[in-house]
Amino acid sequence: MAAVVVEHLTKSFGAVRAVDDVSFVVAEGSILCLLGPSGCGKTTVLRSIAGLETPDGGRIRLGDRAVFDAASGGVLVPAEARNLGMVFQAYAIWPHMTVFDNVAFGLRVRGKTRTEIERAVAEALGLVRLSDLAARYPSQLSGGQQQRVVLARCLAYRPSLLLLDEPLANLDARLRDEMRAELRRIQRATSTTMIAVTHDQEEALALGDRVMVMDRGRVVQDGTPEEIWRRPAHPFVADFLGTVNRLRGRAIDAATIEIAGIGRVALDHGHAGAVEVCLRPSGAMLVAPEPASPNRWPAVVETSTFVGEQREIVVRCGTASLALRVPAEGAAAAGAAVTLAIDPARLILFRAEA
Amino acid sequence: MNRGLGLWLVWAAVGFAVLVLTAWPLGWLAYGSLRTADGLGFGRYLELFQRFSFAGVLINSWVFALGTTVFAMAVGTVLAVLVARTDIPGKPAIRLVTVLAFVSPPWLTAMAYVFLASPNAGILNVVIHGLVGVKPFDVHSMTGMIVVSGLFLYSFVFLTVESALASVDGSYEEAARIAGARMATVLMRVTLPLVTPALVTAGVFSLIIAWGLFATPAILGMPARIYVFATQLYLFLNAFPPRLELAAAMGMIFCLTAALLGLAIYLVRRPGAAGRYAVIVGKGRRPALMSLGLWRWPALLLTWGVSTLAVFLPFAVIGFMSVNTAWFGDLSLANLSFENYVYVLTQYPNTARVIGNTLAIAAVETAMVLAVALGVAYLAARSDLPGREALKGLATYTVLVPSVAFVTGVLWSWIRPPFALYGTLAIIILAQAARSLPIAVRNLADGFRQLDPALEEAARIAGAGRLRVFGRVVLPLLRLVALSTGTIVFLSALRDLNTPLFLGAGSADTLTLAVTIFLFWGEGRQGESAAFTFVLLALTLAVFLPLYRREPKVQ
Repeated sequence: MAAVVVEHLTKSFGAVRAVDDVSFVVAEGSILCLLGPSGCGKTTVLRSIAGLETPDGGRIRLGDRAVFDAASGGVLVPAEARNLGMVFQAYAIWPHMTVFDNVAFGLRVRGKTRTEIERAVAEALGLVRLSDLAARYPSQLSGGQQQRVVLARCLAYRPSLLLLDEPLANLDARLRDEMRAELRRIQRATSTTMIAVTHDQEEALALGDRVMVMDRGRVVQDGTPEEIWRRPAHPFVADFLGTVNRLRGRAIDAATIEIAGIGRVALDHGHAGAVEVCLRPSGAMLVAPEPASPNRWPAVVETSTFVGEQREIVVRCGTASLALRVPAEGAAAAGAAVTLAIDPARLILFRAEA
Repeated sequence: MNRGLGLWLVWAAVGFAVLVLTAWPLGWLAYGSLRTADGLGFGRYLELFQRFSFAGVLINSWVFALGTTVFAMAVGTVLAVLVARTDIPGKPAIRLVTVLAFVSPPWLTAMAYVFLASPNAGILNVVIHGLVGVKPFDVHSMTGMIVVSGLFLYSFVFLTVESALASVDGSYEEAARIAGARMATVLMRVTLPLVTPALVTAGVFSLIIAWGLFATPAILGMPARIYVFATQLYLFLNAFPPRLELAAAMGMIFCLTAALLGLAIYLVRRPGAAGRYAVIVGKGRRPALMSLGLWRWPALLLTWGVSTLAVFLPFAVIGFMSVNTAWFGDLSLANLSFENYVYVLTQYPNTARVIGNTLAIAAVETAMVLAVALGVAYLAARSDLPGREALKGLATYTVLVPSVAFVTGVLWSWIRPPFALYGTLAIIILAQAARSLPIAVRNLADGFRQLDPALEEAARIAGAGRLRVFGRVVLPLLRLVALSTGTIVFLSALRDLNTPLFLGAGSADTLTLAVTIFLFWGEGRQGESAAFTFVLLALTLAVFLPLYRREPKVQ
């Protein structure tokens, strides 16, 4: 059964439609990542599910319980009765309570006995590997430890759903990787349903069983990470998941596309007329100069920047500048004439918007 | 849906309390001022001008208030700049002394200067007469009133301006210096303009506080028949029969003037203008301190000179008076004893009642103010109920009303059945609570602003209802703010003279320490009066110093 069902959710702040007819379903025991740029409405969706925002319209169901329904009176279940956990971006650990008291809070609120509380807190702290820090105050902990306390605090009372608002944004790069793995491990161990909000595409792809991309209050695409990556439904998605070169083209016949000012590609496609072609930075290789032909475009390297294992280069190709990433070894220096070998299978085609 | 029912109940209760405390008295003041023998009209205002030489009082009030403000602003701002922006040594001591000037009873300085500089018997006059044959000082004069009041009020200016200066990011000044400006230029062209809002606020509130000052004009001015607003009001209320309508009319005139001045504060603090001075940054870098060099010596002389005149000398004089049993001009040490203390603490029949009253008023008022202010601040910061900002405005506007004018309004509103509270402790508590509400609301609202709402949201998500979130998360996190606010309210209640004097109806049941001291002084019992002042000072410091050590930036 679906753990969360959101239908036609809308919410405006003044004249701004922060959330515009958003619907989705989260399966029991899975992780959904809401991905999008800041201001796309993803946090508002999360806070609406939590009960911290009151939407203007739509319905929210948690398990078999309707918690919000604009048609039948709005909020049916207040935040505190929804049995959720939430990880806030700034953690929101209560600084006046010890780690133990923080984690025990939800249990005490639920009227558990002392022994039940001690057992559940010990279990939750064990799960996040903080067992020996129960007596500390939050200010005595590192950022990563604080993050673990927040997780333990949410998991201790076994919520039906865990909401995470930019959970890793406040950690440095190394810790972020570690915590991401931890989150997956904990999710597997507890099979807790999770909804995580992030603006980091890598995080979304790595963390989510499903990724829902949002833009300006609307859902642009909802699918598995692989689907989102391989078959973006919209140029915006392709662009957001890693800057792409967006090119204008035109279908010549069923197997050829002419890209304006650059050259041709040969591939079987189902389009007619104007198309938009997205070329990922890794979608072309540099080969020795050869005459122009389909999938072979002569170019001149304009800039070449060493960034470790790869080089980021900008090439001038016809009338366009293309940003590419190529292996660091053997990359051409600025000014060199090269030919781009295009792998047509890695191009992403969209019908051009009018 | 009863989700918000509890919150609405709080809204209703807090709203009712605020209405009763602040709006009700001012409404009565306006009504009272318009009451004439035959209905409503402006007859009392005319009478004020025509029959009671009000113009003279008006001019005196302005001269007194402006003079005091100019004096306090000059001294307070210079000291604030020295402490906040230069490398003058001994800053913690300067700060502590200034805070002492602020929390000590306002009549203490006036009494001390009567002893020092009254025209005939004042010690300074006697000493100088012995040397050069003239008696140069007359404290019973407008100049005397201004200087002595300024020696109290400079502390308020200092505290307001210093905290603003201390939070100015040092890079503004460094940029000016790199651009080639000298220290003095930087100060006049960059630093002080940046704290314009604090300067305007300090100036306007100094004027309003000065209009409300009663003890100093009463002790220094009344013997010389110099009447200002507060002392004239006192005469109206103590006339037989009391001239309540005239008092109300005069109160209204000063309320309206103060409201106009309040506009000035609004103008520099309104959202559009605030950006021009937006220098209060959360984690501002430490300000770069100016090096005084040889100027250090005149600066130290000024600082400690002011401290001596405002705190050390008055404290010493009152201390001496309290152990001196001979006539008050007698400087010899032969008559020293603790007789005055023995009298006020063990023989004076009302001692227990006076101290009991004082503490009871302060304690009940503090509890009341904290409860109401917490409600107002919570609703404004954490609810979306309609009218929450209006409630906050209503709870804080009394800061603009000169204290004796407000007290007159309170008197009007609780003098007749069924609400006949005049002459009871209750009316004193109500009036003082309304006076203390603004600072409490402001402090607690600041407290809420520093509290990340996510801390409360996290507790709600974890399953706690609003009440439990409030009790388990909000209150514990605000406890320091609440403690310091409570202390400030308690202290201002301890030393408040105006309210119990004007509203106590002269009854022994409502005597407080401040009133008793004032009455003793009026009866010529200076020694007892000084001894009681020291008792009050000891109480004040016992409450205040522990807090000051915990949080040095208490205002």
